[in-house]
Amino acid sequence: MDASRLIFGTGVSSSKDYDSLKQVIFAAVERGILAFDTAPSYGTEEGLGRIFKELSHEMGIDRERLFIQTKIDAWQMQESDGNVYKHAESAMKKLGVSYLDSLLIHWPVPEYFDRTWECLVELKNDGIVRKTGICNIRFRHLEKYAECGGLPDVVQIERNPLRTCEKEIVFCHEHGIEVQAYSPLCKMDERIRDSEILKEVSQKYGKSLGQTVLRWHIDTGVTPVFTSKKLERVREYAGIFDFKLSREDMALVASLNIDYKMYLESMACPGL
Amino acid sequence: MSGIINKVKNHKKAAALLVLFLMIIAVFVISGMYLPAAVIMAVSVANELTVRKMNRQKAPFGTYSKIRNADCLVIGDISPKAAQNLSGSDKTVSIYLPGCTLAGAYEVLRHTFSILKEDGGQAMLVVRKKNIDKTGYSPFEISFFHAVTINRLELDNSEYLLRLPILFTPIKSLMILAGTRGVKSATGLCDKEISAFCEERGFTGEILEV
Repeated sequence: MDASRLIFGTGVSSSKDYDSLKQVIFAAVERGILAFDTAPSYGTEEGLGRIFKELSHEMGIDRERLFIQTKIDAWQMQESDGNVYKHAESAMKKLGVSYLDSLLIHWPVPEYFDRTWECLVELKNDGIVRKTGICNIRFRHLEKYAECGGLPDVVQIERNPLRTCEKEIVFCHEHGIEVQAYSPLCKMDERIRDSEILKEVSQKYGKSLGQTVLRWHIDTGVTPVFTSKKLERVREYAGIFDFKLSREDMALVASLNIDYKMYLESMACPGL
Repeated sequence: MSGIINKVKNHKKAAALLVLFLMIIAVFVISGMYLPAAVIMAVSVANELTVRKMNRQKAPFGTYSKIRNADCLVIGDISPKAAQNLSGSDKTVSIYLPGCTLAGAYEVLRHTFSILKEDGGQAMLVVRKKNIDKTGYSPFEISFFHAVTINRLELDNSEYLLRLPILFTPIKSLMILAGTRGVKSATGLCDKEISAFCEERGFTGEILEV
């Protein structure tokens, strides 16, 4: 079992109520998922901090075994004019940790990006942050950052069978950048849910559609950031490490690509 | 949790406003002042319809919209039907901004260009000649703005503008409701900043002065 290659997200679709969040996180940890993703705008940092303490007391899961990732939101970049140290500190305080495994820029608002990125690099140099990253960027941004010599350790993008992001993934793999996929199941859009191709591939491996898609992410070198409010779903999604898709089946899943994105980057990050 | 609290607060606010509104109408009706009562009611209905139309324009850009990878995005002082004719493509998304300035249309483009297909998309900004160099943003532009933009542009009264467009921009609101703004002739304009913006993002940008 290698569930460390799955990240449990606590974003828009996750439980916000403390007790439900605790239940799903405990279920995830029981299945070996030890990586968690949050952001100030999700409103889960504080709750997660409490849950991590309880994990340590009740299950003996130390901080070192966990992977904790949070983000700097657009309003924080603006409010501090890119000097986001205090926001990183506040996130660590809420999460009850002395360092972050990964800190990402949620939406790289152009006006405040450069200074924010400098701060993240400084936080990494100071050992406060282990990995730095950027969410919601495209191939053209990566090319630009490469020219300036400032590539991130992690990139988190919306990726699923309807949007395979080939160019971004090839670039990231070539440059040793970890790719994380948010909305990895595209909220089970009907074009995924009702896809005959996906149904056939899933049946072949005796797995559910969600498991097959998550496995496709892993087999294509991408870490899915998934979420669910349901315990059984968390358990189901953790069970994807006893099979592997063949090259042909990976290509079949990717054949669903229509460059569909749920979140329009420019709406959340004007001028991106 | 805070989201739920906000929703409850918003519902309470809306209910309080509705009660206040009904009370004002009642006062006028009881005092036999039917004309002011009728005017207030008509303005309220027109405002509600304007807000709905304004929000409907944003629907294609929402998370659950299936409209993506458009060939053409037409933004500006042109009604949806005329925009469709102008672009000549079935996969056209249009945003009608009556009386908009070039700065306003460009800011809306900065917020919406991701709806265009990755390579080869086209954006058209349509602005009336008299408004090209003017400044300011109407509720119809602001409704597309991110909180970060609203702060950057210091649009402190945006909340009121978005709630009561008919009071702040009555003519533009009526134009949105009518939705019949056409284009007789158009002249292409050049703007270095806008051209560079579009080129960098892989689509072509055209500014049409009408």
